[in-house]
Amino acid sequence: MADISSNFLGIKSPNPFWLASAPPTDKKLNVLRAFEAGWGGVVWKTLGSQVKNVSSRYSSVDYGRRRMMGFNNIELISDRPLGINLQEITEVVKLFPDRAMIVSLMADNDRKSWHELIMKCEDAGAMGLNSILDAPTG
Amino acid sequence: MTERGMGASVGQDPEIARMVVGWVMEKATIPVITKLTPNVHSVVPTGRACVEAGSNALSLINTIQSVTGVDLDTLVPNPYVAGKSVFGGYCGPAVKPIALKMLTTIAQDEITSRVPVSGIGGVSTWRDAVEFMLLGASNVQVCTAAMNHGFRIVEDMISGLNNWMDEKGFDKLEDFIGRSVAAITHWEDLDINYHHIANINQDKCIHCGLCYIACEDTSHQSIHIARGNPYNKYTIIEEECVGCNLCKLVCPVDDCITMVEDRVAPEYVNWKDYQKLGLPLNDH
Repeated sequence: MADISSNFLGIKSPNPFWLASAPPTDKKLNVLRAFEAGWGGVVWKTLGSQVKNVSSRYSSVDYGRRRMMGFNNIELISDRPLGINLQEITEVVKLFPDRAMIVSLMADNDRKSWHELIMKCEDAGAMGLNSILDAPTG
Repeated sequence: MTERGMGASVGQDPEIARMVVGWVMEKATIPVITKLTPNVHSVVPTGRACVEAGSNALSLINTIQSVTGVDLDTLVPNPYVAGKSVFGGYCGPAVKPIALKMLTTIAQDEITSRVPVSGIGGVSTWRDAVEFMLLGASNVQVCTAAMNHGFRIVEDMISGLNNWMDEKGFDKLEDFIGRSVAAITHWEDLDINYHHIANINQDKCIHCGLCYIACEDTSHQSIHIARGNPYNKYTIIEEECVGCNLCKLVCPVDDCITMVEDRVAPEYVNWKDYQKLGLPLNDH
């Protein structure tokens, strides 16, 4: 049997399949389910200054009889309090230490905000950071 | 974009990206992956700026700005928010080819190829994942497929990857990461003497005529129709076929139409050599 374990910059995961920073990775309950299913790692949904999301949030393009050939999303970064996200990240890392835990960040556009957020994420147990310079819908 | 007054411009401007990544690298003590926006004409300038500013890795692509459609009853584009909509971020299987192209440009560039890349953009199956990795991604990230089918899709991805690697004799991921990058070249380096022509397997043909219509109306009139009862018979006019693949692409039967190699000449000749030699241009 081939060895499908992955080493990304020293961040190890049992397989090369991570969940991208998006709605499925925005809280402990989902991420635990993902890890139980076998995902190698997650990029926790982008943290920054807390936002408010709207309803509705998604639309899609169907093609023929297939649903969701393309998917469109207007959800912003995490709308949960930063402290809760960080606490849950710590808890998940303790429960699944063999999985990659990357935290996605988009701080306000100044050096101090980025530094504070990076420090908090590292303290929470992040193994890597995903810096978002783009508008992170989803 | 939907972010409130920040974000997009930072990721689109290489110099601002360089500054922000610089801030991040001043503080971070763990690996930093910078996610690139596809909403630029090329991801290489922003990718280079991020790598030069010290980013340990890149990931791409983020979502593509889009309007997915307009409701023809309400006349409001979707998704609907109290009679309005906004541009959203497009992802899912439809964006995979765009992501693969952008990934390849990162893998081919001398600066951006120095760092590992995490591949994103419509990865739904183990096959998609392998394609991203062959074009330079060290791993992949998935979202839409999980939102569509649930987390358990990873079970098939794990077993599919394992089986494919065993079949191909790859022991570890590094054995094939980036293996297909060099196979994407410049148009002027392609071999002009390479030629293939279509062949229709008459045992598999269901006589639907889709290949005939496509070739007749929009391509090179290279399929002959012999009208019959109850079925018409379709055969390739080999001297007219330019080997475009269209008939094979429209054929609804797997492996019914195959492309058979039929070189013009044995030696490799690219476009520059071809011009120097004064060889003939299209003769039909």
